Amino acid sequence: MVKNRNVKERPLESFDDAERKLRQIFVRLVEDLKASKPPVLRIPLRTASNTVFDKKRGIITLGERVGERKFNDISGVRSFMQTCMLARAIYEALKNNDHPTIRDLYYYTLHTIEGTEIETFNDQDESNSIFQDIEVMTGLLREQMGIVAESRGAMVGNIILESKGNRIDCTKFGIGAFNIPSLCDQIRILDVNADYVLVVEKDAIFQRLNDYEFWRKNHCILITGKGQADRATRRMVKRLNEEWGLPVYVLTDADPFGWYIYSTYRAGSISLSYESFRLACPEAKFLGMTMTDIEKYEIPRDHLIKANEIDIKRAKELLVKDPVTKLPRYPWFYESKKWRQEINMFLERKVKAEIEAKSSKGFRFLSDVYLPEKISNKDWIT
Amino acid sequence: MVREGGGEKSGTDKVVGKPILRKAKRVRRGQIKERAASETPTVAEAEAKKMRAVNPAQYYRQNLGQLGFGDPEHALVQTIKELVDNSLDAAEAMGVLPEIAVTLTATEKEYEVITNRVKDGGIRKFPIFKITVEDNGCGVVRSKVAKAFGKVLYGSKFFSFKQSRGQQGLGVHAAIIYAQLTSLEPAVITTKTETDEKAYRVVLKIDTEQNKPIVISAEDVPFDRPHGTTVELMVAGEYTKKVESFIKELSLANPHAELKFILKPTVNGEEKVIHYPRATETLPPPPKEIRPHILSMEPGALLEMISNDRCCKDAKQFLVKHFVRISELKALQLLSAAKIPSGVPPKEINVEALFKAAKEVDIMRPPLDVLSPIGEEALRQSLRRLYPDAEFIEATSREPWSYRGIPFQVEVAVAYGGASVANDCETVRPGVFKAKVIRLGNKCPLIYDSKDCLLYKTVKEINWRNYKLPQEEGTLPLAPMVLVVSLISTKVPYTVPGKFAVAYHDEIHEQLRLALQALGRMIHSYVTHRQRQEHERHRQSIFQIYAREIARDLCLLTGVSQEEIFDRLMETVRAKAKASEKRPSPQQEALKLKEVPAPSITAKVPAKEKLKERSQHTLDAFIR
Repeated sequence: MVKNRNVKERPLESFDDAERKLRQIFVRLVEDLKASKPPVLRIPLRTASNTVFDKKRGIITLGERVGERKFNDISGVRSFMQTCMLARAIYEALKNNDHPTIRDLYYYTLHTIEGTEIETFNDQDESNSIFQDIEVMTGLLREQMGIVAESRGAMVGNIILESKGNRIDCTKFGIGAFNIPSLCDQIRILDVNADYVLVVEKDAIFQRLNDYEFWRKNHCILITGKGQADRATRRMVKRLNEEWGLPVYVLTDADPFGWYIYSTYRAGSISLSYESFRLACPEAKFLGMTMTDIEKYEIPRDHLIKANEIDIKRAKELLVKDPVTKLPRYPWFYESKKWRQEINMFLERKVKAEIEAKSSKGFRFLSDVYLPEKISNKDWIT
Repeated sequence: MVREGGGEKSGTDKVVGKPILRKAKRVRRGQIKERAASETPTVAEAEAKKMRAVNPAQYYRQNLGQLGFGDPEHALVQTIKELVDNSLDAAEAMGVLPEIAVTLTATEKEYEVITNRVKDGGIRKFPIFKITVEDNGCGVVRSKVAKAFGKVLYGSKFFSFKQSRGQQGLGVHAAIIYAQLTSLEPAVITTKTETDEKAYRVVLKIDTEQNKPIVISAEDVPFDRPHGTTVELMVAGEYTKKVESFIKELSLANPHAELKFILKPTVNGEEKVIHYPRATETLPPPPKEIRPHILSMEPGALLEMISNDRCCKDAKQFLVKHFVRISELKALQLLSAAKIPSGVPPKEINVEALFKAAKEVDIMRPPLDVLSPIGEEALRQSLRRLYPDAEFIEATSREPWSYRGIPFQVEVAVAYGGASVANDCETVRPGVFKAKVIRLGNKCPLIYDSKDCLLYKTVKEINWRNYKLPQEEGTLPLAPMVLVVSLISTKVPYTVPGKFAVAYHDEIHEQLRLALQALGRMIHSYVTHRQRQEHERHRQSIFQIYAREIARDLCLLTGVSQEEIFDRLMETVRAKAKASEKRPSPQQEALKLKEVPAPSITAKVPAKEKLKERSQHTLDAFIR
């Protein structure tokens, strides 16, 4: 049994803080206005060029560059209005202890401005982008503001949670699993009894492993993000790693897309770089399936898939250096000898493989042979 | 009768038969001697029999079209024009501000024209109009009235080399001839000079066969003005919109004139009174009379001058006396270049050689301060009077210049935007207007034949797109604006004497182009200014829209009142607009640099003192 190594009784995040913080920014804005200063919202840039790799923490973070959104600038006035409008909506929700989705917020604020034909938002993408601006501007994450998003992560294993006063034992879902909710920090982890966390890319593999009760047999917690992981899933992985000191292993297909998913768990993504510090888990290890596994486990040639152009482009990208800064874009790939070997092997052979390809060795090969062997041999890439 | 009718059936017999019949008659009378001579007259002899001197009045009668009386539509406008021209000239000659009243009334009489253009019967009917023009001019001396109005080419203007509206002074005669041809009615002239006790009323016709007045009656009558002339004519005419536009343009060209028009275009129709009070009390500086420049002479005219000269004893004296800018020294130079001895009598001057020499020897251009332009300020006031709601009114002129030894000056003006301007422009598409060009020759509107006119063609040539005005290649700009193009000269080069269109001359064309470009730059800077204003208004409105939303949001967030936040927000927008206004736009800077250089000088420019004197003169006129 692993002990909570940080804060055992971690207090749930309070929304009062968010309410105060959000309001404070606009109070200052109005004070500026009263002093006849043109109102400016300072928003850290969420662009790729303002995304940097924090070597010390091993994660992607936002750079220091900040954009100014001015009211009295014709190109900025609309987004200035949208920012104020969305902030007001969030503020109202916080005050009323509502937890709307970002789609709710979009519809809540969407209207045609009186006397014109101008709509406040053209589409939800516009609203979502402004929402992210508010997140980086206030330093408050969506979850901290109680805004719900779609979540699809699932978890199963020997772990006991508490939510709204209910104890949830994650061993008792049968062939089902615990759906990781969007506001994952509103859940208290009471107890964990596992040796590691196995993150599975594909939901189907997750279901099969759950069906075999792989987690019980191997003393682990099974999590899936169902493809590219959402924030809540990544947050849960991070919490298990950070609060309970569990090692994290990631199982994906043997292709660049799988690597990319691993990369997101490990270091964060560019689009959510501002949130990496609470989502990325630098200790996560890539368990498989690796290119070397293909040979090692003798996957038949006809079970391999020919890599398409997008795969190759993506693989090359993982080793590319930024033309301006001359730094590798994905240092955790670039600076790892093993990873370079993997990627180059892929680029050489131009084939990829799905996890299911292992079923050529029998339906239980994955759960009974491959995974236990890989873990006990420490056959992973970091 | 019967025999003749029978003869028609066999026409050839008749032609042969007739002379024989006549011959027999003569033989019977015993005129045998003449027989041989009359028997075979040659074609040349027959022609010679028909020949006789054509007097100007006859010529006029035959060529009324050339003089602007070609058809009833033209004639109506032309009659008003000729009469008003004379009135304005007469008032200006006296140095008084013109007061002119024009009455045009349709009468029951009609004038019938046989035409094959109309299908039903081939007869077109035009009403006879009674046109009365009253002025406060100098009047005509009793003894000269009949001749002045009744003898073609009799008048003061033909011999003078001075800017005036009527150029040869022959327009009135053409009008009177046209009147008597179409209505069979005489002209009624009532005139009073300053010194006359009573006015003198003459009813006359022109005997075109002999070119002399037929005075029907002459009597003393009372008069309501201290001096002036009233002319009454009955002419056949076709009333069109051109009449009113002519009137409008006439008032534009003469801002110092008080003009009143009473129009009754149909017998039973409404009477329409149009009154243009004067826009300026300043009388334009009177034009000065100068002797002709030798380069402006036609060889034939020079030859005539030489043969008519009775007073000069030698060629040198002839040149110095009759031409401007020829000093004794210059005359000698000219004669030696032409290889004419300076002492020969004028009659022996070789005209061709003299012309050739005149082109080679450098003769100063004529004095240019002899013209009387409308004036930029007067043009502006005039346009403002016509288009009170115009957004932008501007005028500019070139310094006087000369073509072929004749001084001229170009003035241009514009009225841009506003409902009254747009109303006068042709609508191309809803909301798109084509500019209207008002052409003035010596302050007289030119309303027909615009396509042949240099003034009009030059406007079309200008690339107005350079000045932010939409334009299709080689057409008028598409903008709601009225362009006034005025040419002032001691002799405006009309293509025909009817004064419709100005002929092409390089120098005039160049000055017109430069003037229009200068005007274009003024329009450009206004259009840019307006665009900037509109842009700013648009900008403000955008901010206003968003500010209202933001104020509501911030009010909910902070508790500060919506009104205060809104006001504060708009304040920052205005502050920013103000800050950016202070910097002149780079375009404006560039505009100053692009100023077109003065035209290249081929002849000598007038001395600087002259120019100074001139500017002093106009300034004085202003103060007055």
